Amino acid sequence: MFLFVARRLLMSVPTLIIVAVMVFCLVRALPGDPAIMMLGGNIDDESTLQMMRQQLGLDQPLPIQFLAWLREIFSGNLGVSVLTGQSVGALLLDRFSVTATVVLLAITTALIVAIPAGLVAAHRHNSRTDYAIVFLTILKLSMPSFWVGLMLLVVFGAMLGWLPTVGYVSMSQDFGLGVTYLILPVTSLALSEIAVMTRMMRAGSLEVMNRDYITHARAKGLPERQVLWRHVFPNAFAPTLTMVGIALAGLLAGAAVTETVFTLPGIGKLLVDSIYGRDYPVLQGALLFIALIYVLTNLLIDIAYSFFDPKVRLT
Amino acid sequence: MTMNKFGIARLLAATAIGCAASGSVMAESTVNMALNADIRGTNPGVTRDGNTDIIHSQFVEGLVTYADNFEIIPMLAETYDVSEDGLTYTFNLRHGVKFHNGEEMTAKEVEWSWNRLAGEASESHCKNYFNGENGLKVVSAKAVDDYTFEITLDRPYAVFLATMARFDCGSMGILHPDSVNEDGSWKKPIGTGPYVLGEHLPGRYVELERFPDYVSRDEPVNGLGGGKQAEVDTLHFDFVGEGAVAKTALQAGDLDIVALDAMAAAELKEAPGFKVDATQSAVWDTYLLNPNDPVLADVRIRQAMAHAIDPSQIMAAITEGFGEASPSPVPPMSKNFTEVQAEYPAYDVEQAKSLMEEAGYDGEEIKIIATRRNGAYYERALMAQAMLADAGFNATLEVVEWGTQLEAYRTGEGYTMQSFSFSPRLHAGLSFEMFTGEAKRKAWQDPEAVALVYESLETGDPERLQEIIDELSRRFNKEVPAIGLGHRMLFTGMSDRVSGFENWGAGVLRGWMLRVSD
Repeated sequence: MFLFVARRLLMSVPTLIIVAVMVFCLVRALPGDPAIMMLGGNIDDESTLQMMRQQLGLDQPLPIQFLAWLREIFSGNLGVSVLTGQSVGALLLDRFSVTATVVLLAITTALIVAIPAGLVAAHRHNSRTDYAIVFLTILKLSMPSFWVGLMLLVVFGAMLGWLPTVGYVSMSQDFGLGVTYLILPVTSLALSEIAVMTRMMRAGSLEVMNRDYITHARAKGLPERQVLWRHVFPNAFAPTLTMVGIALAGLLAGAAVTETVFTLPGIGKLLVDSIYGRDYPVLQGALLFIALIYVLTNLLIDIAYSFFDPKVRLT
Repeated sequence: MTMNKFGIARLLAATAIGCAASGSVMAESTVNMALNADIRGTNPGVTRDGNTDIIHSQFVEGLVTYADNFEIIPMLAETYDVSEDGLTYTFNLRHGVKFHNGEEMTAKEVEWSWNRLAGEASESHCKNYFNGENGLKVVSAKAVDDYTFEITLDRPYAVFLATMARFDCGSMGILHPDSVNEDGSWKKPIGTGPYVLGEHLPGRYVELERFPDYVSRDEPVNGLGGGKQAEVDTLHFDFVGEGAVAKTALQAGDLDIVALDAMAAAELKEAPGFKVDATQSAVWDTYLLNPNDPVLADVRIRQAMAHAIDPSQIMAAITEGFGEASPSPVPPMSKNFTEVQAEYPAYDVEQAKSLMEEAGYDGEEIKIIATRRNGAYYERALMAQAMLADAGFNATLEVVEWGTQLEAYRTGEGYTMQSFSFSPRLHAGLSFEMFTGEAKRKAWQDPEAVALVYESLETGDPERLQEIIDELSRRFNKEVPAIGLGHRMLFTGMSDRVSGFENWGAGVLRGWMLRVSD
């Protein structure tokens, strides 16, 4: 396994270099001038604009800017935000910790609900339970995340007054209070993922349930619960695991809508703000960081496959 | 955030996780507010945008500032004198003014603060307003004695004090030298304002604490000046990007004061437990016409467009009936706003059609660009498009992101007309200067108008200033370099527990006026 991990990590280096080039080019292709945004849109004075471009290094030719950025990356420095002056590396880690907390809790919650729900729906195929589960998942998939988030805020924040509607306190600062700030965003994210994963789990289980080894397990008298958990679940979970990997990487890369609705200082919100603010160093750093998250998440999922699917060997 | 909500929230969490939640010490009185984005930094005059200026103005003050009617009034200066030749400004400083570190303000700190922002090594964009880059040059700025500070200019400049009071320059705020590290890098603001910067957690919130030793002026509150005796202990600002979320948080009691859009204001106005403040600001909402677009070269086309668009209908629609049209660039609260500025081209579709025919308009595209950012840019553009189409114009609308629109504005390319807004200009000459000049972004490039604008910024004679502003207003209506709509309504929703809130034309929050009832 060590060799597998080392080889995959090594293979990710050229990927990340290609991503770096693409990120730099795409960011520079964006219309809009960071110096203008830095001045808060105040562009009455051309000399001030020039001064700001010089300060930001934007008066240099693009290849020089790119090389300077690469040099900084290889020295472990992603630069500083042109808007706030904060270190990009520190900013990304700080924001990622918020996103990771919410996303990991949401994915875990989603798995805890979706796996049994999918299995039950498949087991009771075409029954009322199955129809109810399918109906609920379709209903949830039809609802925009923004609206669901807002409704959660209205009901549990404004109407019932149970949970805070704005702000964020990390659990390391105050565990109890931190939990209250996480309940709604985790619920909002988890609801979406439950819907997707339940459908995946149901489809995977239905396919497995018709296999001979399931019939065999039943024929030898195994209780239905054991059939489901020991034989159906491990074989049906592989496609869902792929979905978990994609969802995990996507959400860790920034659940921008959820973070915006629940005022979470996460990496998705940072990314959106840096696009609007033309904060090149943060934007470039964040995109590169996201590429790294995708690489690492996929690696973890590939490793996890070997535990669920005996046909998969890490070599 | 109210105590009862947190109590319930903590109880829920404790039940769920099986452990007791810890309590937190609440300040004696707190007002929770929302900003739609994080502040850019804590360095007045250096790191800035609209939100940042609001926070800075709570803890930093300048020698002079703006009054309610946008006149310049002394703030940290007790009085000021201008020499007869208009070149020397002498500021007599107030005695006993304390910095947040307890030290008394003298002319020495004033001189240091001036050099910090206007000196050669300054990182502030404001230095270009005083170093000759834009015409005016400050020849010297020095402490004469402990309580006298003197600035000498290279030429008379009528808007010198107004430039000093600019919000984006932190009113050329006076700070204690300990605000920077030994190497000159920024540390933290040690100002003289009624609030002290508390905690700023980037991306989360910023808090300001009441400065108990604040030495207030005796006059009543006036604009950003006058008496500023704060009562609320803590001003807490959460960063809430979505207006709908801010409104929900207000209804939940987690926020006390939030900016609203017109629709939310209309809805909340009737709701028990809440108040809505609707104030006309000096932000000018307008349609800029591209002077470089050949379609608009004929003045009759521009006049036809002005007659085809009805500012009254549009303002009524975008403000839910709260606001009304004021198409002149000069804001109605300005002392230079007279019946001349109240005039504008009448909404007359037949007149528009007649002018189009005279000019030989043949269906050329009128490309409108607008962003969807706050401020109803898009809604205004949509309504203008419909009205222009009604008159027979081939008007198209392209929605762009704000950075893209700013680039189009700066280069003068990629649009025929754009839905735009200008932040408050608190001098009538500057109200025209913001879109008049030779630069590509300027909608009004007529040399005579440009000369009049320059004269308005130089004259110290109030009567001559009014004459110039009247002349510019008449020419504006005739030449139509832009089609004015009105001055934006600012809507603020607040809970009943808060009192004392008053918005004003400049739209800058005055935290020292707030009071809470519990």
